[in-house]
Amino acid sequence: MNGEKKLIIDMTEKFTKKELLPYISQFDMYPLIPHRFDPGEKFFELGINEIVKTEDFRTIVEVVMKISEFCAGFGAFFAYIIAGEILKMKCEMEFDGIASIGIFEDEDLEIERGGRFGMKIEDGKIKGTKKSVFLSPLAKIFAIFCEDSGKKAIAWIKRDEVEVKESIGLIGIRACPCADILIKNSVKPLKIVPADELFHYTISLICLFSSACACSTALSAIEKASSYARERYQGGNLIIEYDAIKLMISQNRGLLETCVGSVLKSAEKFSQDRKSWIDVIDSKILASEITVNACLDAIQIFGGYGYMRDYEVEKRFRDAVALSHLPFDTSRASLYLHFLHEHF
Amino acid sequence: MNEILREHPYLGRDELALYVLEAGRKFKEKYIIPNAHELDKKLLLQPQYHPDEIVRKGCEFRFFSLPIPKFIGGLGGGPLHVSLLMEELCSGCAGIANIFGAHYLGLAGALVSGDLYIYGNFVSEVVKGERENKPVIFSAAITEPTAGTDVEERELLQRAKLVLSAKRVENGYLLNGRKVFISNGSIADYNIVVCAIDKSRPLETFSGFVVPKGTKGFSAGRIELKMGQRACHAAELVFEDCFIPEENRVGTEGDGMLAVELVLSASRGPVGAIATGIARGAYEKALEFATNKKTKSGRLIDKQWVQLTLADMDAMIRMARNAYIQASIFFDRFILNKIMRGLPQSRILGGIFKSKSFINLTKRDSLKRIWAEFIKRRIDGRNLYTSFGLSSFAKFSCSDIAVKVCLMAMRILGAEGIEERNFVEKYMRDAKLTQIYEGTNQLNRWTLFKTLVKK
Repeated sequence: MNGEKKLIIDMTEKFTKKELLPYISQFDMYPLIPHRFDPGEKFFELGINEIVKTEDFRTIVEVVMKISEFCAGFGAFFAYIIAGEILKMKCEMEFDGIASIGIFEDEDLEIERGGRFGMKIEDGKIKGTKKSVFLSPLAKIFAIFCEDSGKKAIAWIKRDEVEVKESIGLIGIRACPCADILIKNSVKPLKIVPADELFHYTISLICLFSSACACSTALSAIEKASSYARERYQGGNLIIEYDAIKLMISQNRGLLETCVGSVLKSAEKFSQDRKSWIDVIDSKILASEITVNACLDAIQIFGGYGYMRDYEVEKRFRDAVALSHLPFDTSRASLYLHFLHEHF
Repeated sequence: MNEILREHPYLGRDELALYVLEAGRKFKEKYIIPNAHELDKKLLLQPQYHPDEIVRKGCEFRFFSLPIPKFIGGLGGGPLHVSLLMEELCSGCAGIANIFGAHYLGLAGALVSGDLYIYGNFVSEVVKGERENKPVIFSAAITEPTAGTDVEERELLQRAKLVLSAKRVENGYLLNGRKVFISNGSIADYNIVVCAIDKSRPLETFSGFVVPKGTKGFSAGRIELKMGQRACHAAELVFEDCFIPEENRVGTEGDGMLAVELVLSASRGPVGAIATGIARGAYEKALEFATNKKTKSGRLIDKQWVQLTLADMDAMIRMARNAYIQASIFFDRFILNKIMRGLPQSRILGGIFKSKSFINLTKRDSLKRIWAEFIKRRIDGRNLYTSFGLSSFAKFSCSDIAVKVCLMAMRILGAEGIEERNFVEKYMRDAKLTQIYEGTNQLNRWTLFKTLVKK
């Protein structure tokens, strides 16, 4: 790790511990309890724009992983902000504030066919609904994926032309707000950008970040379980002395390390070649399977205590499950991978 | 005819099975489904809230007295009936269903003992309460803060770090210590509590006691904030010089571990059914979603990967159901039948049994001992071993299936699967607990090895 990168990671750790750590359990209650403050502002204070400009995805992924070590919800929050900033940069959109990305609709996108959108630009205008839009309750601008003359496009819409619906409760990463959005009247976008390749790029970005968050949260769950196993007695022995526990810890640790390696490698490749989508989706599928299983095992090692919210292992499991479905579950992601192999 | 009974013709014309399946479905549709999700959210903010209005409705369906013998006034069901009901209710909400499930666990502790005083004085209260629309609820308190798995396994119990103990005093016992994660612990009218009388010889002195709500020195402490199954409280029970009269001891001193094994043999099948119900609930939601979800080229269910996933889920649920039905029937025929056949079966004899003078007679220690010995002799050790193995197998295989099926259901929903509004994520959260309670799945695998694999 070079000096500059180490500095960024250390800064992230300090920032997370000081600014975010005290509020993790409260943010985990969202939307039942509203956010105390806007973490977006705090993230911008961290100097997101500078990080984005580098387009060094390995460093970005490491920052996301560092935050997710403490809370994958904040990790995902940060990741979605970064994704929005990168899209702004790619589309040459000069606009301050959080950008939220609208992908999903009422109908299934059929990602296995490369993704198709019901929202269309007609006479230069757009209207309709996007579902499950992350960061939408805090966004200042929206990047809406749609179709323009049969081709994929991004329509950039200002906040005041969008109705953000009630926040959606999620199984995990609850710190990262999510809601449906509605563009009721036909709106002329600030900008329309062709996005045939940009769509796959965006999906890859979200896949990369979600697998980074998931790996980090699962690793910390296994480390927590490993520490617990060194304190908890069963039948007169520490539970770490039982083969069942040893197997769960060592197998998961090994698999997760492999996963982290794969994610970091794909991030590095992504920095060099913006079209290395296949590697990113590959590592996303691997991470989704392994991280959820690792977190299930971590809870199991804790036994009854693992199921209680105080120990924050169950939170890591919920976060890992949520992340394994973002932006797609492993079945859809695998079929999408096949599509990419066939077409690129 | 109900689908489950139609596909399991060997169950014969079991009228009670048919009744519980129908009653379970009605209760689920009327009281569980309309309330489950709001309740789950409410309990995240207020874990101490108890949905007593919903629970009380169980009286009109006679859910509380389902496993109570007919001569006491119950429906006379066994683990099979409890299991079938649990699957049905849990396909709606495992949290609400488990309030009944934990009640049956507590009742099992009283019923397998064959202790006539416990039957006449406490179990009969359930029937009375049900008639008056005032539920009388049982719980079983086994887990301790530093001993979960330990207190469910003979070999481990000997080296367990026990916190709760009962000290013998004149005419009874003084209980001191704590139990944790006790389902229904904070609401139960009667808690069946197992603990050692001599902590240096736990296996030889492990004994069960009925601790009624409101007993001096007994209180419910912290109610845990759980990931799922929130409607059924998991509470800490605190005992501070809590005096329990001798007659409230269940069976004889030192029979506690046998009682725990009997209870687990009876209850792990129904826990398998809880898991199966959760899996079924998730599957039904996924099927509904796939049927209704439109894609650009048709419906989601038209896609082959979705069809194959649903078929896998269906197959696993059938396997799980077979496992719990096998375990429940075995316990019913070879254990429960043996215990119950020694007891008065007709309602006339039941009338004598409920008389005050008879109850007073049965509280005598000498009679309790003779009766317990009689019951023990009726149970074939090999059958108990097999029952313990089969129920442990059902418990871990069904719960592993539940977790897998819930994850598959979430996959069908894709990114929408993680949203509360689509209801599938709750099944996932609920399913995980079934791999933990009634002994972790690791312990249950070990029990299967020791009872049915090891030669």
